[in-house]
Amino acid sequence: MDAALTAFGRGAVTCGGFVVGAAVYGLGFGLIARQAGMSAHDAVLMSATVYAGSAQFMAVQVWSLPNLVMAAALVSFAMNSRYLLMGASLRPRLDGVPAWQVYPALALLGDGNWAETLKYSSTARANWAFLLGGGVAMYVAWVGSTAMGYAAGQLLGEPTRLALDFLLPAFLLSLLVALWGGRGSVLPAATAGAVSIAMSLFSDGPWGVVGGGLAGGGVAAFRASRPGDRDGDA
Amino acid sequence: MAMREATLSIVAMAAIAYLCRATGFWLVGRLRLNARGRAWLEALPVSVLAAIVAPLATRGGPPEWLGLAVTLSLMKLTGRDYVAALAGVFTVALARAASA
Repeated sequence: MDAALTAFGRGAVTCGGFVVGAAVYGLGFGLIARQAGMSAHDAVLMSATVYAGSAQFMAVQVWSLPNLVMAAALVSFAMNSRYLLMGASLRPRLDGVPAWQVYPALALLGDGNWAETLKYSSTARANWAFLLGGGVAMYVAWVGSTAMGYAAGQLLGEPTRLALDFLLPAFLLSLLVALWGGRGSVLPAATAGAVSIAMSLFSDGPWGVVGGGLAGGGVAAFRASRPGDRDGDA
Repeated sequence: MAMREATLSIVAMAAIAYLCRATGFWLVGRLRLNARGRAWLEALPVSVLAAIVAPLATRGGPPEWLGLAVTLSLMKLTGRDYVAALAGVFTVALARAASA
């Protein structure tokens, strides 16, 4: 147990940069959720249960849609689908850890502790504790800063003066760069952007995001079905 | 909007988020996505993000373009999303103040 405890602490410390990032990002989410008319309760509940920055920022975009449940579910799948692959890639590092320990820890899987755990690469049990340590630290920062950001939004008022309305696009653009997969991303991203712009000409609202996202994925799938062109593969 | 719909949306998002986190781990070794399915999944985050950012660029004016350019450049240079995003916000605030 001592070794696991050490790994837990090391995970929390190693993921420190991501903890700070989560805190800043969470402040931004709290602010934006308030601007979108989400209640404080919903904003904190979302951070505490969904715990996924990109999906939550996007959910704010669709928050005023009539068919909210469907849109939110789609957004959550679209933005979190990458965790399917991240989780899969962690399998060899966590093999042998009992299910009752692994599956709760996976609830705290994030980009940061995922990458750090892959780098850490110790025994399966230490990897698990390391993943959990980083996850817990990031989770606490994320939920706490969401509440703080929401409260600060009430003090700041007038978001356009401080350009806080730009916080969402700026973070999403950063995330786009962070998740950019090189040359293989050009075609899906360009297709998605074009479809989204075209759809925004006809309907005001975030449906272009879903349409564009599906179109970009579709183009990548189509390209992958052609032999000899493997740009889309990681 | 009805409170219940908001709560239901959050529950749906949370359930799907957890399933995404756990299912890939569970599935590996039992089932392998073909190249097409994998490519679709891999392209999804970038596609969705591009679909959000692109209309914002066409809808915005010079302050927003400048902000997007600063965010993009700093992200490529530093690789830190919060540095890039906050610098972008700062740029837009300054540009708006200057043009007002």
